Amino acid sequence: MISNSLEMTRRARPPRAVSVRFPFGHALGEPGNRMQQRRVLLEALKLLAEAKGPEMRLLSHLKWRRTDYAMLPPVELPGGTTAR
Amino acid sequence: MATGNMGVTGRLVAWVFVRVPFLANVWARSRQTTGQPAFVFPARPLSGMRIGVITTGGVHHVDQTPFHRKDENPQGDGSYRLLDLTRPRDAFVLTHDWYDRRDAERDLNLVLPAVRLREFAEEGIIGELHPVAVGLMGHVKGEEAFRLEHETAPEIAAVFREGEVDAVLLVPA
Repeated sequence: MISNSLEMTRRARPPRAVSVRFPFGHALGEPGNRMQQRRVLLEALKLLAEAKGPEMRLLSHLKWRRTDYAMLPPVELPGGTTAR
Repeated sequence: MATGNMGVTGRLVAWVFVRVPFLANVWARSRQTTGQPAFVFPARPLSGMRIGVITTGGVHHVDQTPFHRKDENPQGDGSYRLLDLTRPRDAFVLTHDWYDRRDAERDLNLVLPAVRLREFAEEGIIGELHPVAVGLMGHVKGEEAFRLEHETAPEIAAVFREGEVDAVLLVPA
């Protein structure tokens, strides 16, 4: 799952979660920010593919409005694929 | 999609939770911890997976019964709606009292990222997006939380199992 509340997610105990510090109603980011939305989803897919057990991953490097998502290095997915 | 039916109190609560995350965390600590994580390894690589989506953003179709608002049931609404992702954007609406929905109404991907996941399918990152998603309304408690756990959740699991979905992404509001 994607989480925008670490406290709530800890209590839900999902098998996998990526957590962002974005406001409620904005788990994927800002409206119209395609690269930001893709980034959060790619991090979730990466965790889906590579987790070896229940894991909650805090994406502290993804800032709400202070990250230029087009400039971030691509996400390396299992199998050698990269995407951004 | 009018935001006017959110109500002044709902807007105020949403505003406070967004701007004072500490209070949201205090509320979160009052929630009950449930069970053990249901972890399983994927059966195939990402590029072959059929991905399903659950949103708790109160998304439903215009021709479906809206979720109960808090003035109709203070415990929320533990039911679900099946969402046909082949329908156009104007077939989707949001009913939810507990967050500021205006940005999600501008860009539905914030709570139901179907467009983004279709991009990934076209790029070969995932196999495909399951064409049926599930809409829930978060912030349920009491009898509605019990209904969600014991009636709704098993039915949702059956929907994705019958659809041969490999993994489901839950997107909160």
